[in-house]
Amino acid sequence: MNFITVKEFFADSKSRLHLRILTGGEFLQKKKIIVSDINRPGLALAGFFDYFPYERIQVFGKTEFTYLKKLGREKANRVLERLFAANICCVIVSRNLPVPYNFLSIARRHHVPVMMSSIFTTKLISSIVTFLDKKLAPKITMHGTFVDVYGIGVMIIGKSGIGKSEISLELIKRGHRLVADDLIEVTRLSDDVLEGRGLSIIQHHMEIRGVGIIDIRNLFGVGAVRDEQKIELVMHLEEWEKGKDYERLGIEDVHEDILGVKVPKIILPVKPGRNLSVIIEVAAMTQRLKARGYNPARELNKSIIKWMKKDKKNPGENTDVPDK
Amino acid sequence: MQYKKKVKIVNNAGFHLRAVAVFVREAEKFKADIKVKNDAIEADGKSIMGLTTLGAGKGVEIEIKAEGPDAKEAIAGLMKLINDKFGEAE
Repeated sequence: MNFITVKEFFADSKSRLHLRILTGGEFLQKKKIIVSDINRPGLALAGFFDYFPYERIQVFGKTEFTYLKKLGREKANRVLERLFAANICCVIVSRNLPVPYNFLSIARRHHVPVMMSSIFTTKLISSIVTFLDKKLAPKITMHGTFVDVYGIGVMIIGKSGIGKSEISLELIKRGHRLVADDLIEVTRLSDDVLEGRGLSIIQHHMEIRGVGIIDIRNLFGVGAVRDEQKIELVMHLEEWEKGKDYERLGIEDVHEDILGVKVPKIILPVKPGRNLSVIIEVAAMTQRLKARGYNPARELNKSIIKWMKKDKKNPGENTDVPDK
Repeated sequence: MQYKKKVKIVNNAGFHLRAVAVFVREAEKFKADIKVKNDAIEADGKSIMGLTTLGAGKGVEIEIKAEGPDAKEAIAGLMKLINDKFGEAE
């Protein structure tokens, strides 16, 4: 299961959420966050612990603290004791609220880190959820070259040596943008959205056989690269095999399953003399049309069927019929 | 045929560009599909950029996988290369 440690969370969110540690800094590494949801422990403070979501980050705001004050010192300490004993990953206090009673010492005794933020509770929660959603999303790395063609994220895959990098270079030369070459980190942002980005140090570099390593950003400028993009089309390059069936119409949709998301896929046979970059440009534009509900093959087919019906009704009258 | 083997990087500079290039040149001699894994990242054994991304420095244990008719020979050849420090004088 995906998780991040509270330490990673703190390091990544410190400046964005204006976070500081009140207690339990030494437990940060040990504590793991496994879900992106947040809990406001109101019901738990009232003594109701059934279904208590201890795996979530617990956020204390004005309401929680006001309630604790109302409970009085003794009752409050007792319920906090029970709450912190539930093995929760961490607590975040919002809007720099003063922490009452023995809150921190009880948290410390149960090895629960407590952090404080200056941000208002609801803002804080939505910000944490957005961050964790992305961090905890399912991920895989894939081989291929990822290019933004007319705003469509096109992932070019195929065996090594088939010419993925060369084709991408041609696309970049034609004004499109490189996202990543060779290794693409794919993240499932939601049920039907995949995002691809490059990995670390080599992002925006390419290796071109015979030339060596090139730096796309330096060669073509910042306009020729981007850091991430949605994956909307998969181009599978393969060697042209005589006798193999390739798509001739494009009426049926073919998909590649990536992390459970179906991405439209085109299998493109590679043969010397085929200008693949132009084909990929056209495929990207066609994909855009298809995404808007226009399938050129289906539309043409409709017209053909209509035309044939008309032809049968008035035989001999249709002068548009081409000679055989 | 599929084979896999774990091996530790022993040269000082690790998987730097030149070492990677030597590795890829060897890998390309074989028909087998070759993959190299470091932690969660798996790269194509015939790709310079991919292998560089692994960031495998000295002492890192990587896993080499090969699949194809000459998989066994491929693994043996690549293991030897790594253990010979990619022919680098140190």
